[in-house]
Amino acid sequence: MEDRINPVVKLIALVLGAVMVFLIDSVLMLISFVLLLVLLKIFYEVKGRFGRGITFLVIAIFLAQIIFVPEGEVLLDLRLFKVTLGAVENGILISGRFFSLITMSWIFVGTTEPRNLSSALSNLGVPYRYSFLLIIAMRFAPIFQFELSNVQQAQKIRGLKIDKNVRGLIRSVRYTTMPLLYSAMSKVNTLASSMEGRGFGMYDKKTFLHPIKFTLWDSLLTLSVFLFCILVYWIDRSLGSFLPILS
Amino acid sequence: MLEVQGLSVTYPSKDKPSIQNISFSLKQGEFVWLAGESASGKSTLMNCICGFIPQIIPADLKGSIIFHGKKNLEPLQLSRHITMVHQDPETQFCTETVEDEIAFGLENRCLSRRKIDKRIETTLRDLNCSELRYRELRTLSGGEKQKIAIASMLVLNPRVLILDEPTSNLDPISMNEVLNAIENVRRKSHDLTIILAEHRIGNLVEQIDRVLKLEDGELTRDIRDFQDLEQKNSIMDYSYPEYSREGVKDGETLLKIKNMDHTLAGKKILKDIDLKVRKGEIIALMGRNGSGKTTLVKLISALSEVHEGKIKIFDRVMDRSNKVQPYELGKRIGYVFQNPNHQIFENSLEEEIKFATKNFSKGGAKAKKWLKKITTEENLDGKTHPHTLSFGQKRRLNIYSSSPHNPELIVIDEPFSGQDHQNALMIADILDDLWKKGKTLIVVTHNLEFAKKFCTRALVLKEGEIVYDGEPDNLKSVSGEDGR
Repeated sequence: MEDRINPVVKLIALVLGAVMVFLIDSVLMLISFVLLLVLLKIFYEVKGRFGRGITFLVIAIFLAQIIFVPEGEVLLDLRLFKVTLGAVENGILISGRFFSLITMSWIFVGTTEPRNLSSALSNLGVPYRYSFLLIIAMRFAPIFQFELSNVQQAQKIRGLKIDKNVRGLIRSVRYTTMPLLYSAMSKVNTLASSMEGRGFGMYDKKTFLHPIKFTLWDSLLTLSVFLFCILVYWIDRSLGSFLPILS
Repeated sequence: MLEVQGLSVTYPSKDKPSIQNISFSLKQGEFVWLAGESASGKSTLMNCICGFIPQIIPADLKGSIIFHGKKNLEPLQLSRHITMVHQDPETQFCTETVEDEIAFGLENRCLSRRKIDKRIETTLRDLNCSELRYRELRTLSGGEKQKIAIASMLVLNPRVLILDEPTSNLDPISMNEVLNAIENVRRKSHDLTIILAEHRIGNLVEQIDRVLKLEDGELTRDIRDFQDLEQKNSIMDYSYPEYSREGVKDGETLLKIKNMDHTLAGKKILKDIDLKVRKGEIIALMGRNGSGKTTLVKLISALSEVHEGKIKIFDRVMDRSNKVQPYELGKRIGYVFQNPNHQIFENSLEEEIKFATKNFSKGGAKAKKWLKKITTEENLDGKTHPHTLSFGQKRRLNIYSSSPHNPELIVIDEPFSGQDHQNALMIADILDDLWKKGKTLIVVTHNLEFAKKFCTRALVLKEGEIVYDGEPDNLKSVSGEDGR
């Protein structure tokens, strides 16, 4: 679902949010923040589920902390390793930060039209040649995703089996990069010709059919985001860095 | 208005010029058919006229292009007067919606929002596609995409409109839509000069004022005064020879599909497919773009999973509970994808042809034979990097490298897409050779004449359903209904 918030405000919120999750030390606060993000994702009807890859990484980060970084009071002795309060706390914090970053980016991409972001950035003085790169990236991302799937299918049907080890990874990169690279190269000249052939870069400025202006409402919203971050940081400091329930 | 004088172009990686000493001049309002086989220099010439060569595409250019008295202008200067529609609309689009794509050039020229809005409206109306204005580009059909590509150029009010094979990737119905759109443009603006490079131009041939034909980079014909329509049509030959097909009907059953449906992202792509393929058949799988042809052949080859219904291929059954990996079937199926670049993995012809034989540990001798054949026929060396080959050569390499491990069934997805007739005939010869060696072929194609002359059976899909299954000779169009 797209909203009416200026994309630049959302971009500022994304950057501040990313900084904030690294400043948060309280497990309780981070869990609350994660829940807030999940609610936002549901509210904005952002498409897609947390896939197996992301879930695996979140769990792997958590377990790695439990196993390899034991510190503080021992909660459970599993012979091979001890589960400590510090490790649980660190595990939740680090995997929670990773999960928050992914979710925030996801909400941003899912609720922002690239053309609106480009227009809003240009309106703030960013040269349109740079802001337009976002549109190009979004335009070609699904095409390359489709091509990657085709290349992998072509490998499989001609008998290429990729082992799940470092050697397999190197082979996979070798046999996947080249076809994708040549396919991309064949598109570059056409796209550049198509854009320049329609006057891209003719003037320093361009008009936008749907301009996005930074309004007073956007300024107030940006200010609110700042205040929210300060509030969260203040509460976080008040709560302290321990895991209240376990301790 | 436009004059080309002694134009020669040599690309950095090539020894000989792609076009040589080309000279001609165009009048305002001329409708020119730029004819010629693939790699004859058509695209190079058009890219020079727009100024893309040498500014965007590096090449050594000799001679001059004079537009209204001004020599060798830059692409940005020329973009005010000359625009070019490329072969693949997907690659030339730089936004996500129809409206944004058409507005793009006008925004770059800093026109007001009111003017942009009005010009978009008028252009879409002229091309009879106003209803597409608020659609996302990815939701359009192939023909609609190409019409929007044309609209995004026409909206700039150019004096010269160049069209580089705009219908080469389209099914015949979409092709007609685009050719009709061009005809509309022609009727509405007689002072617009149009240069159309295309292999087949259908009824549009009646509108043509002049034909320029390129052969091996040289301008060999420049015809203005036509005696009759037949003379225009005789410029290009599209006929196929007769192929002998004996003893196909009694072959054993190789493939059986029962009650198969397939749904993708909530949309039903295939409906109630029942099909039997016998050994030795040559099937032309036809239908409009998006009718489910590629999905069907990917399911047959285990490249997609069967969710509803059942496929029995060779001795393997694929259904909801029985999954088969593509490399398991790959020993017995050779599959050629649509895009040649997606299936070239090695750094030399020799390694590329051996790729499947190494993975399956079979067919080394056949690989050597194929390598000898391709290097002799194409005058190449085994060490040649496959990505330096022409589009047509890559396509032939794809077919050769899909079959040295001796698969029983060969599936080829749109082998003629973007190929000229000469290349199409060469591909047909390779396929004929494979069939004579006992292979069963499934060819996804829009080419009705190929289906009739070459194939033993035609299957037509429409919106995921088989609407025709029978003799190719009875088909009048790829939509299939008229063949019933």
